[in-house]
Amino acid sequence: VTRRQFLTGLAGTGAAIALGACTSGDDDVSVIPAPTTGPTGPARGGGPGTLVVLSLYGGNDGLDTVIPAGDAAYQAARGQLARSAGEVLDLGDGFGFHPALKQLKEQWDAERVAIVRGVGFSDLDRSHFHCMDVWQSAGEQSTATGWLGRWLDIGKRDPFAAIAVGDGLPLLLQGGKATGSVIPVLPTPLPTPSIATWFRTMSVASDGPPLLAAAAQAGADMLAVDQRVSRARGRAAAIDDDPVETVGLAAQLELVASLIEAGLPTRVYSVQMGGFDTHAGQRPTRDRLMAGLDDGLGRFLPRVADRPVTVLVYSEFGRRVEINGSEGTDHGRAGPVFVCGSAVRGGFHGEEPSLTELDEGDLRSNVDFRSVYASVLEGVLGVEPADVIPGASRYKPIPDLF
Amino acid sequence: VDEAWLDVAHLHRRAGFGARPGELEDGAARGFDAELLRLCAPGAGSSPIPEPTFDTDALVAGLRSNDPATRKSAVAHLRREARGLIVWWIRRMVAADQPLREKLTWFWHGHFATSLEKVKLPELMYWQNTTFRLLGTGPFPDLAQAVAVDPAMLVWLDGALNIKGAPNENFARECLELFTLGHGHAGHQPYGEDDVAAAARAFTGTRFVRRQHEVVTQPARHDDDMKTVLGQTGRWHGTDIVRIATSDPASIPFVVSRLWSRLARPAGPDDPVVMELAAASRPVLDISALMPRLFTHHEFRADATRVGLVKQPVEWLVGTCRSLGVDPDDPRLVIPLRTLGQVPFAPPSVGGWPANRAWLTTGAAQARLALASRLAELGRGAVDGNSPAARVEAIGRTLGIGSWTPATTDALRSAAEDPHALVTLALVAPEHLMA
Repeated sequence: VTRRQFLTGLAGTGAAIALGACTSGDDDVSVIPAPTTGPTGPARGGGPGTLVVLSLYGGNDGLDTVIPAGDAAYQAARGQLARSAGEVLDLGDGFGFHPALKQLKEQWDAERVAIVRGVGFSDLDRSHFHCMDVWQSAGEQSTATGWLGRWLDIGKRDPFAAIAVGDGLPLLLQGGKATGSVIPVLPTPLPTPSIATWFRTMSVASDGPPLLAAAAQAGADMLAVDQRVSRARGRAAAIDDDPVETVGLAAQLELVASLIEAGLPTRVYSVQMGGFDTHAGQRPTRDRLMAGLDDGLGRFLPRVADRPVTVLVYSEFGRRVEINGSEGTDHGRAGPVFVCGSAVRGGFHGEEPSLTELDEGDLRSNVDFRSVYASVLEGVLGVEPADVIPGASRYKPIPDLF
Repeated sequence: VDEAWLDVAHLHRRAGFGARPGELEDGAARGFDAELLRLCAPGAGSSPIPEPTFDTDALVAGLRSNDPATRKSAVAHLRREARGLIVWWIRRMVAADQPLREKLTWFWHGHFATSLEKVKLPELMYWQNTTFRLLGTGPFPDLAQAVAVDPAMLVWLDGALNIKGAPNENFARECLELFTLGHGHAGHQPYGEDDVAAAARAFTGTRFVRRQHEVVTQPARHDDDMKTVLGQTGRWHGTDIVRIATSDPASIPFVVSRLWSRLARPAGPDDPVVMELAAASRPVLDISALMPRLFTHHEFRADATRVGLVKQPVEWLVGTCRSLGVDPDDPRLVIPLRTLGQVPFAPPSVGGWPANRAWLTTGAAQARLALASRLAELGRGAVDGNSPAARVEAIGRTLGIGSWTPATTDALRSAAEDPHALVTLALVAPEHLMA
């Protein structure tokens, strides 16, 4: 299978949509499945894989990630920010990775990186918060539950099913009933065995007020996951006493890799990186961000290469095509999504949006992000997209992504 | 436990950070309304906690040095100042005699969320904090005007880079979306992309010049052409945009909904209570007039409000320290806030911090248990003088909690022989996590 074949992906998309229109009769956009419970209830899909979702907060500049360096329209629009064709890491087809993505380029060469181009949604409005909510909820509008939270709602409650690494629970793992577990990046030991025992006594969710019950449930879930997570952590990371700096992507993914290697039954992990809102002087910031992304993914992907692990990388929006007056870029619309791992078909998928036919100065989106989710739900988690995504029949999986 | 005591405990948590030893009994004797007046009193604005000190000139010189060793020591200096600032504010909240002023300072920090991560210089964050404290209890338009020319905000949202001919939309967009009008709902957005672009032009030319310690507007960098923002056309400057936005009909309901959501229970601008409070606040939203109305509204004392809000991590830490009489002057008590997901002066984005269920994660439970154990070491004396049998109720009185759930009661009774364990467990009990 050559990369050239993947470049024809879009022709396939059209065919699949046409086919889907003939075969799918269910177009009910309000369908969110009723949770099925019980010890013998269906597992959350029979797919073989583990999904790691990497959220890039702030609006990653797609044109400075997968760079059309050879395109004169790009060079003209980006001015001082434009990178030369010699500087980028050639991906073929006139594109190149940001120069810092060296390890990711090796993964690309090993055909473990799929780049879906021009991903977005139709009414992207350039608001960080609204757009991130739409991405994480996968609703027609932003909703109170996340797409993987609704996946968690299928089947019986299991605090191991999904784990967010870091300091908080992203919307994407918030379900109607279930939520993902959160584990701190740094080890956080329980005080004493007897306190842990009594804490277990206390952490019984009652039928009382929902927030009180949720607090008790979180305590019970924490006790359930802590033992195995603590064992899997291995050597304790050095405690960094800087209260402001966040823990880097590499440390988060290192923990995820340790948990996967320890055999946790977890099917979904969430990690994140921030700082992508580059309105000003973006070149050095971008260099640092891309180096951080490369450090994280470049170490993680080889480590899990012989396992069915897939990484999905997205951001709430891309950035304006034209440079702004402060050597940065303002909020834009479509951008690339990465799907990485041994199970994916590496290469380009979808068509790069035109750099000249713009939507108020932004790239137009050719692929709805829910089509990528549909592919991942089928290909990695083995569930019907309609069980998770409202109006799923409108969003056909990306052909040949897996 | 009597009703008056429970009401006063609720009031202390919401209009402040929770009561200090003895305050609830005194407050219950005075009555809810008298206690509200006491908490709302403007006060002298003084604090027993010494103000933080900064050496910004040396810091900047060090950070710009070509010598790696000098730069490294400047980074250490920067961290020291940042840590000092964070610890100072937490201590100040714990020591506050006029807790409502401090609570509103905390609220405005989340509303106009600005982070050290980009602003870098702690002194600028301190100035902004002082502005919130001074203006946060008065007319909202005055506060919004001050924020639009606040040095930290100008750095945070790229004010210096917003110039004539090359506008940067960062501040203009957030000013409308997050600070004054809200993003709207169900397709009704109170403003459009054209308003954002025109507002950005109006804000051009204003920047903070650190060497001069002042904010300057340079006419050559200001776009003086006509702009139309929210239907009004003129040669607008930034002050005009703030005036137009804060007098837009969408503004007062939006800002009131943010306050009600953090002080009572989550609600949007179209919530009936919010609309009622907003209507009473026209034509100009004055926080000092809104606060008594908000806290005396019958919905404030409704059951849905009492169990409708989770303490944010900072509120949990500050409230715990106040109840136990702990002065958190040790950074080791404050740094764990990072794992709890909330460091003052370092919100995750300009959108501020989330609410409620976001704080009830397994990770937060774990971090909270570890920190509670340290706090209980310092505050175990809270149950001194009580027999083991009486300690369960005593720690409830200390924390302003009238009754424990059966599960919590079981756990606390099991731990009653061990004051450290008892206090630790009470601090992480679901009841104490509610605001």
